[in-house]
Amino acid sequence: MIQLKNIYKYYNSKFQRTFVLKDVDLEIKEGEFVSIMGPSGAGKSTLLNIIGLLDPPSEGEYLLLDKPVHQLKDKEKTLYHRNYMGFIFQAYHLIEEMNVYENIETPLIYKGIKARERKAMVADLLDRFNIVAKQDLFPSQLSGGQQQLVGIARAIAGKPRLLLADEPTGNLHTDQGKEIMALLRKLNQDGTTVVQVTHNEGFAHYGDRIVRLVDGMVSL
Amino acid sequence: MSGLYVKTAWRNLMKHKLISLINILGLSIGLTCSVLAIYYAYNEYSYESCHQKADRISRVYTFGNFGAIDWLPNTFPKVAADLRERYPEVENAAVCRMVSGVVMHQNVPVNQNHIMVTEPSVNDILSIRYQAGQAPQSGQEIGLSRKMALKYFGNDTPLGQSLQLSIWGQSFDYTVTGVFNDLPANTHCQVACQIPFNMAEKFHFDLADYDDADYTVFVLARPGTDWQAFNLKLAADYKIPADIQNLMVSLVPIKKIHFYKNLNDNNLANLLVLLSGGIIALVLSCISYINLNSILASSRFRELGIRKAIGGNRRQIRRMLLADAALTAGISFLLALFLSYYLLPGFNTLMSRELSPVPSLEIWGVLLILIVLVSLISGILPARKLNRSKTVSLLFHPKVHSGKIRYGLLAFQFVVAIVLLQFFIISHRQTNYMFQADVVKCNADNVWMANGWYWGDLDKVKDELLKCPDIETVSWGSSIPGINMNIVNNWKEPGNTAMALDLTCESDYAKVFQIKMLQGRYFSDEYPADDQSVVINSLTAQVLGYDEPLGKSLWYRERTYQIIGVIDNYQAVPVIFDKMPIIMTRSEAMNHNLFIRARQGRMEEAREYTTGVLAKINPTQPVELTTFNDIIMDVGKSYRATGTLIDIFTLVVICNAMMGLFGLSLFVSQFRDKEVGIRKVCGASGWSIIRKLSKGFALQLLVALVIATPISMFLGKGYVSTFANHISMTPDLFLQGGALAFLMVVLATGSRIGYAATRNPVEVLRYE
Repeated sequence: MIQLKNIYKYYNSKFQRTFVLKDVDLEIKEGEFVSIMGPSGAGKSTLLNIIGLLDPPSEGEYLLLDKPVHQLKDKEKTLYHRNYMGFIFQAYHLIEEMNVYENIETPLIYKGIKARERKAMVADLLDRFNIVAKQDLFPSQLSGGQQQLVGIARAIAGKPRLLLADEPTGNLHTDQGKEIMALLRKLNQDGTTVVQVTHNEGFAHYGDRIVRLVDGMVSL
Repeated sequence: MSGLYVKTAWRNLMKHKLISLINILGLSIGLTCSVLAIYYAYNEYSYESCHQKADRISRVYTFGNFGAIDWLPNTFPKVAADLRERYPEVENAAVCRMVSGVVMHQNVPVNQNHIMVTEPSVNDILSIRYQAGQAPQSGQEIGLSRKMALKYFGNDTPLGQSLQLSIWGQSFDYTVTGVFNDLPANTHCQVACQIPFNMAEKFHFDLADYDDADYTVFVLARPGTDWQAFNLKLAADYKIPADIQNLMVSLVPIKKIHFYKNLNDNNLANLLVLLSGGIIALVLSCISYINLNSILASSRFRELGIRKAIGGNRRQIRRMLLADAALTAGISFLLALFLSYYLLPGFNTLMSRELSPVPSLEIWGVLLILIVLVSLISGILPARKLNRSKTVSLLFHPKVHSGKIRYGLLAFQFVVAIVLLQFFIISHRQTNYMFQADVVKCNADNVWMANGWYWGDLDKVKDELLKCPDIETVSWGSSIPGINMNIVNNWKEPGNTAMALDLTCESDYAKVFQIKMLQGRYFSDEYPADDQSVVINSLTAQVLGYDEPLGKSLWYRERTYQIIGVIDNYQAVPVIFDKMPIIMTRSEAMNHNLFIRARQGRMEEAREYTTGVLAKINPTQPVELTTFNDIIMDVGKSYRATGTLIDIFTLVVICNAMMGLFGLSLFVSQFRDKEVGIRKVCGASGWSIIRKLSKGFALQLLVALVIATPISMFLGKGYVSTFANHISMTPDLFLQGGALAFLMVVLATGSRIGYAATRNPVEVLRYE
């Protein structure tokens, strides 16, 4: 599903070039659950952003579903975001001005799904995540764990084939973290490819495979 | 989807209440100015549209050397017949004269204006339509407007009834022959009633001469007539036998009169001031709004990043930001409509108009376009900027940009505000200058004035009035200083074409108006020969070439007078026109105006006493006393309105600039609070923090002052040079403007910056 070939990411300043990723080669098959680990500043989030088409690589080739995507235009990237990808963030990144229902509904609106169908889909997700009672609340009225649940519900609302999670348990305590990981595992078992970045060795093992990054390079 | 955009925009608005309030208030002030300007402009352009044949109707203007002016909106009565008979382009022409009179209503004398003494053909030209009866044809007949019929006859049928009307002291009973529809407010042909022209000779109107140019002549041209070509033909062909330099007539289409030469009105200038003021106020409030909106949008970086990450495309995000702008603009617009509705009565009084608070369909259309434009202009900049940002930057490194455009716009706002402040100071100083006693050289404070015709022998009236200890002096004359003065050319020598102001007055005229006598003496009852004498102003002596004018003779009104005194070159208040030669002769015991100078602080007592005396002498005449100030205010109403409009727009611009600055200072203090906290922890003093945060504003103010000063100098010079007597441009005028602008910045930004500097750093840093 994902093929990264000789991926580099660097930033040029006046006198020097700072590398964040160096010559990264990585392949992830459809249905896999991959955990990316590494110390701070190793380039984990940058790698995830490149995989999620949020940030382009400086060099290298990236094939997604067998198509080169490293030089896509904004419009084409948006289509991938709508149809194939879902994002889960460490800081949840819910839209503060929208309530739970509207947050989950937004990607479906962008996808162009009709109102009636959308309603049914959101209702299904609310039910599935057991947050029906919270649907009218705003993010500031929820606990961290509840916000992350909404974040996951929003990420999978568009039925993505690839779920990208950037330290999804980073802001949660252990029990909440375990719940979220179990949920990701379940989603993976249902067929969604999951790539997560984590610092937590225990949570990394929820995945099938661990990719370790050190100083921007994949450690073998 | 749009509903969701609006819902989110509303929540966002509520989240940033203070900045949203500033935005809405600022924008609604700008929009209110625009809405009123649009109402006004629509009304101004609709002038004379009540006349069906308006496109073919013109009014005859007279051009020539009339001294301080070179044109008159009227002409000689014979011109109507000349045009009708000699020019095939003219389908019809009618002469009329607008006068005032007194109606005896239930034994009470009531002043009545807009009486049209006219040829019947005027109704074939203007759309004066009789809804009952017919127009007066001959004899003592009168046609009334509906309003006038209602005023004097209530709900009774006025047809066939009698109305006692006195014009210029000639009182007759007129029979009402018809009632015509009231003309709307947006026409210069305001008619309350019509009297046939064959009554004119009873009022001593001489219709067959070229002496008196106080008549109004309307011309109906044949379809397809080219006004310009016809006027050229008239200039070449039509000569008026009168001794006035460069004398000619010209036809001005009535639709142009409103903006064309209009002695007492400043309509075009007012429209231009209003439109440009409306545009400036709106543009500046949009600038403030764009500035603050872009700041507000900065707080939504992360949200936009999320939206992009979950599949929102540029168009959808642009729409969302435009919905934000549209919501603010929409609320501001509603507030502006509400404000306009409540401000309209005051605006109508200021501009002497009767604008309806319910806009027409056309105005709604223009307003709709305006609101869409404002939304687009104010929403598109942040939308463009944010759409260009990378998703990853928006999500993980949300940072407020330095905003070159924002600072550019703020600098522009500063420049406009400073120019207006400096111009404001210049125009006010010029106005004060024009009223200064040492410039005007006469003083009309504490003077009451009344019509002088109705009280019989004014010598007796004077004796009676001077019995009151509250009255200092009494006099009478043909005109008030500088107002309604007669312009003559039959002086100096036969065939002279230079104009002088002619005035007949009683011996205490100069005393009443405190006009300084430079040489000789004034008229006196002790010298019966003073009937053969004149008093002149020093300019007349200069024109005549007399170094020692006393005792010398002056040819005037076909005879020779002896000069007995020379007075100062007094002028009208305010001094708009240049000085002119003045020739004064002694008045008989009756004249146009009666003047009563009250003692200091005794105006009311003097008014009461005078009213009692005059009402006793002639109970059939209403006693109306006015002050010089009232007359000046009335005559210069339109000009004063221009000044008031400029003041209002200056205030609006300053308000907007201050709100914008307050918003920016709020932004600076909020977005730099962490930096300020760290600096304080590291030992920075409150004063150094204030200096740090204010530096940007101070620098911009300085740059704006450097740009604005030459602009206001140019505008100010142009403005004051339109007055014959004007102030000179001194540096203090501009420094005062700069100081006011500085004060504006301090007031607007001081509180927020002061708060940021004195805040306990722990409050900011504890969450970091």
